[in-house]
Amino acid sequence: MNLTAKQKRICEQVVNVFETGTIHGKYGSISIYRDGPHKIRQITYGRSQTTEYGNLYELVQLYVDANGTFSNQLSPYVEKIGVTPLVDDKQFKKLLRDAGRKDPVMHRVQDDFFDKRYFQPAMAWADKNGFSLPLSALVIYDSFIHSGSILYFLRKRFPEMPPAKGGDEKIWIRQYTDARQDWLANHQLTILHATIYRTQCFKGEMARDNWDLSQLPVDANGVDVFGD
Amino acid sequence: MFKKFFSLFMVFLLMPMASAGQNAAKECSELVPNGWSPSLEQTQTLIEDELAAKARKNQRFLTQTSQGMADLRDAQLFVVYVQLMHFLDAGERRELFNEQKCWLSRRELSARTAVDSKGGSLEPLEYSEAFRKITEERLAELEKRLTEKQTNTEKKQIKDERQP
Repeated sequence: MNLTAKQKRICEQVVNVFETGTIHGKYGSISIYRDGPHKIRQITYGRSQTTEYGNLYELVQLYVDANGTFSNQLSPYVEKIGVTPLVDDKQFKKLLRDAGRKDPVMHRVQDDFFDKRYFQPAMAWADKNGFSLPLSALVIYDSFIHSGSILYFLRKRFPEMPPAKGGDEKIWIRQYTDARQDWLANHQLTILHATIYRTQCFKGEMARDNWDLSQLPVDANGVDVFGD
Repeated sequence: MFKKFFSLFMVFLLMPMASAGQNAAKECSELVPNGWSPSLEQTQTLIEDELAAKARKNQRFLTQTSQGMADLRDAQLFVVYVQLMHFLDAGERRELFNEQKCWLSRRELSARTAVDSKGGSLEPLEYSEAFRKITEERLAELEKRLTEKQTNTEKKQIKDERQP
């Protein structure tokens, strides 16, 4: 997948809007969800949501190594992350919040980290399956951010093969987006219906034949994305 | 806004109730002072209204709102559970305790089973919504049992008062 820097920024910014409502994401955002091991509460942090029992250790270690403004204060916490529950540690959460809001070093560390953890695996999947169009990259990246991968049960709901197996790229992406929208719009957990703004955005771009993401802005859930 | 209100509510209401539950197991036959029946309905309405009214919902908003609603239902279930305990004798209390313990384990498993995503930001939303739905079913069940117990107790009181 050979994206220009601008096409890649468009993908990231559209997904940032889907996730947080803002083009640049929220680097200092902290949420507490009951999605840790055995469904215990855990911290979810940063622009693209890394978790206390997932990759937060690695992210904070990278930030400490990068000598950011709050690196010294966060340093003692590195060995505790994922070992000792920190979900109720106010000082730790304040440091994470402050670093994300005030320190450009944390922004850079998060950008690099999330690129490695989410964007590159999504693009590796796209390459392996023969996709090459920028809008396909956006659809695939969004699925990795939203559902962790291209869900297998959705792939079984439509007939087109991926390009690597002789299928047509645009048809596959259209059918996959339809299957995803159908799943979300008719889910028995009704709050999921509200998430179809993602697939609606993609369908809008397909309808105007914007496969190279050159027609700007992209309307992401009511926010104009220019990739600047 | 509801988060602050909710936190204060939990501290001032639920902690004494939990403590009351522990003491009752040891010596006291009553758990809840007569007429104490707290309500979380307004908070629930506020959250539901906010969810319905917000024009552009992003993933973080949806997940946080869903988590808030699930927590609220769990708190309501806790309140009804304690209120129901109030009407039970020692043997029945033990039974309800064990029943609730088993149900809590099943809830976690059922909510986990309802999740299709393999990570990603949708996963906690799927989990918290399933958690809320399962909790609402249990809440309705315990509320029904509580109403029955209250009705029976009232009938008994009226009958006792009429007896010379």
